[in-house]
Amino acid sequence: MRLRDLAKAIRSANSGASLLTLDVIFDEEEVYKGVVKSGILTPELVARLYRVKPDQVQVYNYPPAQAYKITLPRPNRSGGPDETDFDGKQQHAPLLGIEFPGVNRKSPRTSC
Amino acid sequence: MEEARLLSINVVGNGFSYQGWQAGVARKPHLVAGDNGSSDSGPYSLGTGEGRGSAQLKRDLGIMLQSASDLGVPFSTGSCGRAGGEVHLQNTLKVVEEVCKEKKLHFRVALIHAEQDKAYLLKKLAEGKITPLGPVAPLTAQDIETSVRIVGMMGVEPYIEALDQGAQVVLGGRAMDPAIFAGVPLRMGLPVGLCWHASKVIDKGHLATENPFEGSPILATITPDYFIIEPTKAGIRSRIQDVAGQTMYEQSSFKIVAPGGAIDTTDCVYEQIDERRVRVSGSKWIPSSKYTIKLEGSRFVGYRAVSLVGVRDPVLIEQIDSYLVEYHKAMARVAHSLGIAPDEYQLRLRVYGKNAVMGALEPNPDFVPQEVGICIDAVAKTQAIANTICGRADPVGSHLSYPGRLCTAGQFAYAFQPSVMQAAPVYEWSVWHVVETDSWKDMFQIEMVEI
Repeated sequence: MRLRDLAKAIRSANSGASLLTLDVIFDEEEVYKGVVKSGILTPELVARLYRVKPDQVQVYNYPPAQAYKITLPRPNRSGGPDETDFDGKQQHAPLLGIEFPGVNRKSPRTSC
Repeated sequence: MEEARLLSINVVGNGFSYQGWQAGVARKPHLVAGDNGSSDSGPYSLGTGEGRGSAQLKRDLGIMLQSASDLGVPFSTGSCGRAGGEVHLQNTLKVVEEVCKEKKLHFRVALIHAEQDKAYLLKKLAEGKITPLGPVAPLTAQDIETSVRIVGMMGVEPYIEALDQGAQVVLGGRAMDPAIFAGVPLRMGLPVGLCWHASKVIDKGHLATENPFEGSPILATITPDYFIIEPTKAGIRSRIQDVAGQTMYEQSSFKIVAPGGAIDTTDCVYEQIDERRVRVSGSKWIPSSKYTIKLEGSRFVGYRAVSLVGVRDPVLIEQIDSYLVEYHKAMARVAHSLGIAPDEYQLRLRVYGKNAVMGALEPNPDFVPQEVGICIDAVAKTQAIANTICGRADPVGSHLSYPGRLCTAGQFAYAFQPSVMQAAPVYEWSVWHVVETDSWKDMFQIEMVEI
């Protein structure tokens, strides 16, 4: 299944003015474990999706939150005349279509 | 050792559930507190001195200050007036004074000043004590000098000092969010890691609950071995995911850096003790050898005028990238003919429908939609120049020819006439760095006021 169907939340926000942070949060423990086990969500994949260098990307997973946290540099310091997204809240789209073969939800996704 | 109970809300001035608040007050907290600002609002608030609108702020402060008085416990807030500079702090004090006058409340108030002296920062820069925060360029003397104002983000020490001096209300300038809360439990001798982590979880109030839009206040109960998080509005729940999620929100890793150290949450244990409440243990405070303070500075960039036009012509939309190149060239000629120098203005043509939101990060820039909105964005040294550039850009763009053009009457659809809209002036972060300091007292001063 695609990440957009597996995850409960996929969100982006600024981490301060120089970094963008993406959270991928799962509500089903087996799905979270499946995603971790697949080894698909890596700095290299994120770097390719966002067209930055892999060494600029950090990917952590935090078991108590059943979540991944991804950090990459913002293309510009936040604020300023060339700002496109002040709070960095609409930068999550590239993650939605990532495929995880063999990982499936047990119950349908409910809205947040 | 006694447990500490801290009652928090999302942001003072963002509203909260009254019923939820009263339920929280009934638990006899040792502190009622809430954050008042953020750098999320960008450099505009810091640059202009503008803060939060006052009706909601007065309502929130009125309730919280009354409770502080009734309970005989402190009220604490920080990053006053959004950006936490001097003018923002003074404006917040004015609102507090108004509220207290109306409600006949009297308090010993501590003001903690966070705006920084440029001479002090220039000295620190020369000593090599200022480093970038994240992937930004090193700070220069010019960055400091051209800033409108610069604030330091205080840690918990000034709050503790203010409480030690008998403050009943603490109004902090720019502060690290958890610092607003952690002073009270730390003074009670509770473990540093738990005090900081609990403060971090509650510092955005209802975001640590399942249904943030219900606006429930949050109660943290801190003991020597763990802390418990619970919403106070009836029927609202906090689950492990909300508490752990709040721990990681807007952070780039699982060590949350603070002045003088970091909160390490890597080995935390989260337990759902009942439907509504989460218990957390294992949070560690790791002291660092240096004491560093985050600096935020704002600089004026220019005046802005914008226009928004619609394009529905498929012939143009298919070749929009090459069209934009010619459009920019045409506008450069126009500016030149009007005697406007290239360094007096910036023109951006933001194409909504293609790549306006993600800009350089857009992974799919070749997508061809059926309509686009072109936002013509002129930023210039004067409002007159911004208005002129934006005003000329509309007819120039509408009549600019391109290969295969059919709609020879013009390619822009205007929803508004006149089409030029004057926007807010533009500021940018001139300082986003960290300074190493010998003592917080070099950067933050406490002033006591009786109201």
